[in-house]
Amino acid sequence: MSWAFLGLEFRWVVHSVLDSGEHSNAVPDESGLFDSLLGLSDLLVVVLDATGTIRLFNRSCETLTGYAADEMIGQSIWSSPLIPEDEKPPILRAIASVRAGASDFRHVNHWQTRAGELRLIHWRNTVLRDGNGDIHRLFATGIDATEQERAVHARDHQRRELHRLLDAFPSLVACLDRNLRVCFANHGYRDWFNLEPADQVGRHVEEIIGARAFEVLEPHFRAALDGQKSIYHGEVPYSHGGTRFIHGTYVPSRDDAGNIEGIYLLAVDITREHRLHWQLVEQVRRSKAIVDNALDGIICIDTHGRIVGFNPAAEQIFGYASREVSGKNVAILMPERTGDQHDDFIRSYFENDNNGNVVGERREVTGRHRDGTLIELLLAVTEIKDREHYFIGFLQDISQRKQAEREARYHFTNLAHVTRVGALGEVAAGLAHELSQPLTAIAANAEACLMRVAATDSTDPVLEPALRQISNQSQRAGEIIDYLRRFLRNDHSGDLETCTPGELFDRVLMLLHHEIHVSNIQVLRDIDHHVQPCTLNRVQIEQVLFNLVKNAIDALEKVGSRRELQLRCGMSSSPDAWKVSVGDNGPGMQPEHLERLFHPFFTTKSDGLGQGLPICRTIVERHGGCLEASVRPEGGMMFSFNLPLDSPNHD
Amino acid sequence: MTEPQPAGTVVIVDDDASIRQSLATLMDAAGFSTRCHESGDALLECEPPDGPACLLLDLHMPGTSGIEVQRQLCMQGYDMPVIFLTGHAEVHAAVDALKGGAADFIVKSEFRPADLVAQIRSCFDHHADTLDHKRRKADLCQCVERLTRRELEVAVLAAGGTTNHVIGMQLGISERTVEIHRGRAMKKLELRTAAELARLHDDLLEISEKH
Repeated sequence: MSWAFLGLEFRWVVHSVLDSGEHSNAVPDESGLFDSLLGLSDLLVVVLDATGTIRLFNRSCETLTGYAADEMIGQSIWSSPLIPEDEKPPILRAIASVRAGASDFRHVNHWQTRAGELRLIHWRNTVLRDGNGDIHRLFATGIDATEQERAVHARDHQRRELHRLLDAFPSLVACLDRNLRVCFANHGYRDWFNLEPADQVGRHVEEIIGARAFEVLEPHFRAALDGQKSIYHGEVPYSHGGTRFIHGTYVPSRDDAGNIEGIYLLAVDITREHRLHWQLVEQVRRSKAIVDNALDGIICIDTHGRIVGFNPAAEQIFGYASREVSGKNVAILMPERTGDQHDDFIRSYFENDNNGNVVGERREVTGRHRDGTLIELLLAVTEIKDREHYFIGFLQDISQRKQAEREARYHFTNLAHVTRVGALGEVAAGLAHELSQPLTAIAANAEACLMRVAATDSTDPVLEPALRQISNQSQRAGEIIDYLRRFLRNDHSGDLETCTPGELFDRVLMLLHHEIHVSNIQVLRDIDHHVQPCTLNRVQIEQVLFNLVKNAIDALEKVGSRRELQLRCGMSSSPDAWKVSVGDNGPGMQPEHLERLFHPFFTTKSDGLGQGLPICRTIVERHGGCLEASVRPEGGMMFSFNLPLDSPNHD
Repeated sequence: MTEPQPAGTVVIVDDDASIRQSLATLMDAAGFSTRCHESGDALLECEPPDGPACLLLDLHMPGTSGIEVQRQLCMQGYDMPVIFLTGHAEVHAAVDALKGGAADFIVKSEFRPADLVAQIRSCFDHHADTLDHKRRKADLCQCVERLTRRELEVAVLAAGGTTNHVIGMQLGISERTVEIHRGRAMKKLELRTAAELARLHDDLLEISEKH
């Protein structure tokens, strides 16, 4: 209800109150209406006379105060319990000013109810004067503003609370209007920029944060003004206090009608967190680089033996990709027997109060490659006891190293052997020289005796053949020694000679005559009569034949009976070449192992060098030929090589 | 059993006594006379044997080596054939030996006694020819001493096949004078036919050049 409307109605009220007690029949209906209005109105209506005596106290007043109109009418307002004592003087001063001429005035004061509650009333007063201009009646209408007052108070309180709360945030909180001027700024502005928040109100945000920062953030301000929540996560070069890494949130603020009246901004400084984050990222990246590029295989397992980390070197070692083994039990990387026990190892490790001897020691272990082959590994285990418990294994594939060690040992043995062979060559050369003297003497003496026997016409049937034998055998001994010496010595080995296969076979068989004889081996020689002489390095080719025949003899040792050694030489055409083969009916070998025969150090003999066949192949190849091994269909081995008659220059 | 005249003397030089003994026995059985020395130096101190001879020389000996012995013998005018014996088949030594005039080079381990005997026999023949030629040349020298200078000139030219007429023109004397000188020379040289004279041409030329 507006005051203007009330003013219009006063006319009625005034008449009624003025005429009360001097009853008039002129307007009986209007008087009833007036009473009804006063009773219905929420407005507090009080009428005082010039002495302050209450002449009217309407229904609303009764309801508000708890005092009945009957109690109050006739009482002076100043002696009534309605107005608190300390509020009376200002009212009296107001009334006094009214006496001086004004007709309308307003004031606010409390009424104390019967229950003792203070109600805040906004009063609008008007005075009715008599013919002398003196106050006849004081007409007061009031509205109980207690609830409104309380609401305002509560709102102010809330706002202060809110501001205190916002101030307590370790962040920047502000409210900007549509023109990006600050409506509110929390204490963050003091903490961040050393600016007094209250002083920022009304300033444009760019003035506060600086042009460069504004450039970064403006799109987000604009987005919020356009009604979208916007988030900025990044660095902002503030003019005060330097660059910060922030997480900023910008949301539109709307009035009750939903119109955007500005933006709220909340910025959290995460510079330190960001730095820590990046340090952590860097650290993780560094660690990952180390792990990924480590020469050692690095495998991490949990306490259940499940693989949780598998670096590229480990992938290399085991042939598994990291994703294939992730989450699987580490036992798949071990030989079955060890793998089955591994879970027990881990269990016992914990049961024995971590006193196992696994962690911190380097051990040689055997691993299993994806393809099933076993790998020799050097293993060191360490554990991480953090929120989770992990074991980390560092692995080196030492298969090659072990192989190298074995080979080195083997080489050393071989070297010793080769040295002995070399020494033997020297000894043989010296021996040949020493033996040639007595053999020459024997031959000469035998021949002398033969001559004498011939001269005497002796008829002794034993003497002459015996002497002939002495002569022949000493010559043979000389030849053997001479050949042995040349075979063992390297000099003149580049000389080419023209030979027939028969000569070569003879010489080799002569050197191995004893072995062949003792082993009771039958030698089958088969030389094609079309074979033409060949120009070759006789000593070298004899060495090849010697090796092949010696191997055959060794193989035949394993045969119970009917040992056969087959030496063949035929011709092959285009190009014209010898085709020489050495066969035996020994145990032979698996065809898939044939090629390994020519690998250095491959040997089946306990005292073998594993060098014979590789050297043989080299020699034959230098003669433009090719040495091959095969398994004979009827059993046993067959080594064959060809020698072109027009061989290339061998050296 | 009658001892035939030895075909020649085999001189054996080897530091190994068993070699010396056996070779000596073999050579003896083959009917050769032998002489043994245990070093090249011992050999060089002795006179060469009379008649055909052959030297069996060990290549490697303490002291003077076989090659050096061969060289010194050559310088001293020894003309007997040399056969080297060696324990080693050394190409360089063999080349040196054969360049120095060795008749053969035998490796002991390839030693065949019968072959050696045959080889020595051929050496004797060769040496005998050498000795014969030497002796005849020495005889010729003595005869030539009896010739006058003009007679020798005519004899050399005549032995070379030059006719009396041409000799006269070359020497500036008459053909008749040539005939007289030639006749005297033939008589002094105890020659009867022109063919005999012709055979002595080289030797006469050599001797005349020394005069």
